[in-house]
Amino acid sequence: MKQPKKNKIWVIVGIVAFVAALASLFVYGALSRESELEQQVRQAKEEGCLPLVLLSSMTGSYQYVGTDAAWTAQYAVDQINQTGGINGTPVRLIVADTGSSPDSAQRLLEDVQSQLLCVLGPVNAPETAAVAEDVAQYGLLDIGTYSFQGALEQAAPYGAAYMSQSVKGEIAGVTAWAACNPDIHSIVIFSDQADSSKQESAAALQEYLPQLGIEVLEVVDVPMDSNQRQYMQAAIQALNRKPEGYLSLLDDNGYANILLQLRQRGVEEGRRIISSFTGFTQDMIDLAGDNLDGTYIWSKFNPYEESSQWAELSLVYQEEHGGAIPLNTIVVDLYDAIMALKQCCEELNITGNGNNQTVQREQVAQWFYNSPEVQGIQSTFYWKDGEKIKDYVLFVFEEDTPVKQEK
Amino acid sequence: MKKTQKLELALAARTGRLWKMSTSLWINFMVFALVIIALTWIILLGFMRNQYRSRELDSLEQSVWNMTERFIQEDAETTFGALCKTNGLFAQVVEEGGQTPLLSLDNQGDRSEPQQEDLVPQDLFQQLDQSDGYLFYYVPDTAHNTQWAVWAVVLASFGGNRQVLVVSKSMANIDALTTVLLQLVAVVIVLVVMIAALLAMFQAKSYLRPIRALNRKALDLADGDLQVDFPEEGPLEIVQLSNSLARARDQLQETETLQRDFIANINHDMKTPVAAIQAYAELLLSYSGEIPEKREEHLRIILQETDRLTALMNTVVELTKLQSGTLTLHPAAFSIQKTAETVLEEFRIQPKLAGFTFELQCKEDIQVMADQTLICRVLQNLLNNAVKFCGEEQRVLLSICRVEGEKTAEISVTDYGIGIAQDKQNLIWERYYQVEPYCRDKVGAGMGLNIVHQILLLHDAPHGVVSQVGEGTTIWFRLREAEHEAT
Repeated sequence: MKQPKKNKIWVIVGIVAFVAALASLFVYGALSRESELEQQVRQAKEEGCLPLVLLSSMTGSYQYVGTDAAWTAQYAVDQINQTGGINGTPVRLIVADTGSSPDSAQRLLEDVQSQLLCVLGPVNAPETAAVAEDVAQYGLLDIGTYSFQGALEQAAPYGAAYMSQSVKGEIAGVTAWAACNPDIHSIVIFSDQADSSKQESAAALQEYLPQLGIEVLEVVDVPMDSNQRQYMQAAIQALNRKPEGYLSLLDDNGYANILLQLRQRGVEEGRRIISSFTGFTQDMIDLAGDNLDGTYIWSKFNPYEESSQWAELSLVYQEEHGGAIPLNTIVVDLYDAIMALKQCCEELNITGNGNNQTVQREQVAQWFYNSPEVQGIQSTFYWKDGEKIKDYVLFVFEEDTPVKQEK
Repeated sequence: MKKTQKLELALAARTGRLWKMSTSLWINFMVFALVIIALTWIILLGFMRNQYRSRELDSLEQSVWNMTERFIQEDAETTFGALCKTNGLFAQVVEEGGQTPLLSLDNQGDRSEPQQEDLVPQDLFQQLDQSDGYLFYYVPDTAHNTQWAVWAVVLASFGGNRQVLVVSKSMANIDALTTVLLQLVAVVIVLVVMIAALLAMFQAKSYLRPIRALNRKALDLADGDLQVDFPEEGPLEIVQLSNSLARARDQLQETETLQRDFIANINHDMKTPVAAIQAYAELLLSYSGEIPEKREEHLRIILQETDRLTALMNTVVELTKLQSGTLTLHPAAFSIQKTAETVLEEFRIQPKLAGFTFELQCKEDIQVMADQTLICRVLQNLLNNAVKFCGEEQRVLLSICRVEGEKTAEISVTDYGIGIAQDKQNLIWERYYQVEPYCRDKVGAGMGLNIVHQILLLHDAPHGVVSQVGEGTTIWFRLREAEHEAT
């Protein structure tokens, strides 16, 4: 028998309602389930510790930064706990792996944002750009990779860079390099157009360098996961422009491969090549070897600093890294940021597990956004409008050893 | 010359050009073959040739990049030589501002002079300035009347002077191979065309053989040979055509038989009254003109025979009108019972039918929608027919009844005479058909029932016959009721 049309509609409505109810239950269940990170934070608090969450890329393409970040944070927390913690409260570091994914970083932050005094990380520019708007919305201090102006403005006044501004460092580094090599009047820049921070730096340099009498002939795009042929083609593209100098904004692997190609294809004088701090790792030095001789690189710190605190840190790092010295700027910057957090909490008399968390969060954020001068492990620094103000260091390689250039 | 042949010639003259079917079929087969060949040729030329060339160029590009990668190795020249030999390439390394190549290798990997001076164009470095450090271009290969495919890639820049690797490959081998391939294909195509032409010819002949046979037989039929046999050979459609022609032949045979009978009948029917009129007229003239009783009798016979002749002529005219389709129906509602009574009354009052009994069986009066005049004619003819065949009983029954569920009235005329054999019943409607030919007492010209048939067909009225030999015959027909027609 044919079913009346009205009855059919009611059957469909019933099925839809049933499916919607099931979906709602599923979503509610998923949302109400406590994540692993939340559990860790709650557990730390229950055990009388101040939880310190670091969003770090322990896996994926930014792993090389993330692992150093995690090591440094743990080292700093151990140092703090050895001296009685913060206002007597022990600190517990909780490292959350973002997998080098901006989406993952956003989700992790969302999970724990309401339970924290502040958050450390993410430790790379794309992830930081992704969470910048969120931290402003949550009203939670984020000490992350705000190394370029765009993300810092989005997170204001809750974003504080643990590292100094990369663009300013690029300009300062190139300015110093140009001063050392006044005969260089044209360059090619190697950059990764997929990385917004590198794009920003390249644009700023293209605008700034003519003021120094240097023409930027071309910005050669070198994607992060290029193969050997692509590195070769990028080098050929640069050589074909016949520049007098070469500037790399690439990461360590990209820079080392481009450097090898340039040196083997006619760039005999190392002084004509300068790299950004992003290329400054032991892996890069191992890969490039003596081809680095005479080349320049700028950094946000001096890995060969002789102060006792740094010497101790460097020694421990070498012991745990097969003798490699800490070259990644995050080792210094994150250590300094955590120590600054200790100083902040002590000045504000905050333990982080009190009942007035909202007020404390606001106080901590304000302290960092425009901080007093802080004594870092190598030099003094301070934050102004979330930007870390600190000196830059220029090195020139003697064979494969970086030697600091005096100003 | 036969009439049909003249007709063929006239048709050919009228259409201007008339090809034989075998020619048309052959042309169609050939067009099909040529289309396939054209497609094959296009695929070979447009696809395979380009594909082959593309693969060669890809191989060239790969070799160029391999050489560029190995330039930084110490044994670069050896590697270059090996790649040149393996891939049949010519390689040069030229320096910006230099007069002669730094290195020049032939396709055996040995140092040699460049194959052609213009493989490195004068403005190579200007062209490179506009590029990303590598270029691809063609240079005419004057020796082989083809082209060189050339890649130029910057290898290095020493002191601001670029060193460029120029790798070239002549397309001569590719073109030669393509030419050989195309020549082979051309030969194959010519063979295919020839075979296709022969096959098409045989195929066309094979298809046409039964058609030609049928055509010959059809011409024989057209020339009047009604005994012709149509062969049932060939494909289904040809066999069907053969059967159709056989049926047409049978129809012609039947019609001819009927016509022959009609002429015999009409001849007899007309001759009889004419002979009677002539005989009695001569009697009047020579003998009975003076004897009033005889004269009156003879004149009455003459008039009687004249009426009979007139009736015969009227019947022929009526039948001709029906068959020619010039008769127009004038349908109207009328009482079939009253009409039947009127017609029956005409029969009852005829003195010659004094011994006959005409019965009307009608339970209710029914209004029918039809041409009343023509229906009267139908009834008259049926009654006439019944009178002729009612036998000794001399009883005719006209019955009218309503057919339930169909809104029609069924009218039937029944005699109780000799009846009609089962196998003859379908023939009674045919023109000129007579159950017992040449039986002068009981038959006319065989047109009465044919007129009934034609009138009822015009009315789209179902009709039929029910008969048993020795028991009698009922001929019936149905007319639509007027009310039903109105709605």
